[in-house]
Amino acid sequence: MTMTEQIPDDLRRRLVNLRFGATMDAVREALLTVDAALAAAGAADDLRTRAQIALAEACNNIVEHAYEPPCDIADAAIVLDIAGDPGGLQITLRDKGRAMPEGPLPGRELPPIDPDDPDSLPEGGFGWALLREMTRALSLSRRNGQNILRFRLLHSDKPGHLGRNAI
Amino acid sequence: MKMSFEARGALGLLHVDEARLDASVAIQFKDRFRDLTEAVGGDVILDLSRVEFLDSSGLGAVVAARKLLGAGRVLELSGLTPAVAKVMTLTRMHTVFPIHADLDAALASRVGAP
Repeated sequence: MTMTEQIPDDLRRRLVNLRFGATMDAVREALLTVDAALAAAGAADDLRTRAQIALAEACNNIVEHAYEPPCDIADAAIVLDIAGDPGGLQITLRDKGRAMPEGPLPGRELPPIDPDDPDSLPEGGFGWALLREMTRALSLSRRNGQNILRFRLLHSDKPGHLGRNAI
Repeated sequence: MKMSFEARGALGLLHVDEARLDASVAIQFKDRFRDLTEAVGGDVILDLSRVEFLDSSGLGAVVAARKLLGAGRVLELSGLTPAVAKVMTLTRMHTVFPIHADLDAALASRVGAP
């Protein structure tokens, strides 16, 4: 980003604080709320798109894995905070579900694709790759029984093709 | 899940009349696709021009739909909006599906095809 680029003032503050149930329908509603908030704050279309993709994948992971049925956790919820700063958006997601298995977080690797063999095509395994590709400085920590996922979305970012720049 | 279907001979045109093809409708999409496309025996063009957002679950459902058609039939996509095109490209699924700018282009590309 250059010094002359103008970032709307409304993006330099806490933009979103939401708490919603750990269901796919609640995630969809939350994403619509986020998109309206980012639009109202003057976020560019590309940033809004990246926010939608990153948040969809992060939240769906929480619903499908952290709170994977059978889930006896009362009040299974996701808490989402989005703060704006001159560089972009700082996003924090908290849940009280299961911890991720030990070891490094999944990277940007895509499942193999053979266009000539439709039956072999993967129907999943894209979530982490998309999340990685959209975001910067992604971290996951566990504190007081909570999973805390943090990442950044830059105002101006050009995701490369997945598979390149593997971390 | 709103979808509408037109048969043009053996060719099927399937319109997704929803703004989001995501995890909350992925299973419904797959079921409706199976029911609606049973009526035709040929290729299917999936019109995504009204879909503004596709997540990895929605993408998985489109892949599952392609598999339902079997190896002898083709699933083509038309009218990708910017967010949908971005997900298709980043996951390299744009190498799997023939993609057309809109329905007119999709149909024009088939002129002369069996």
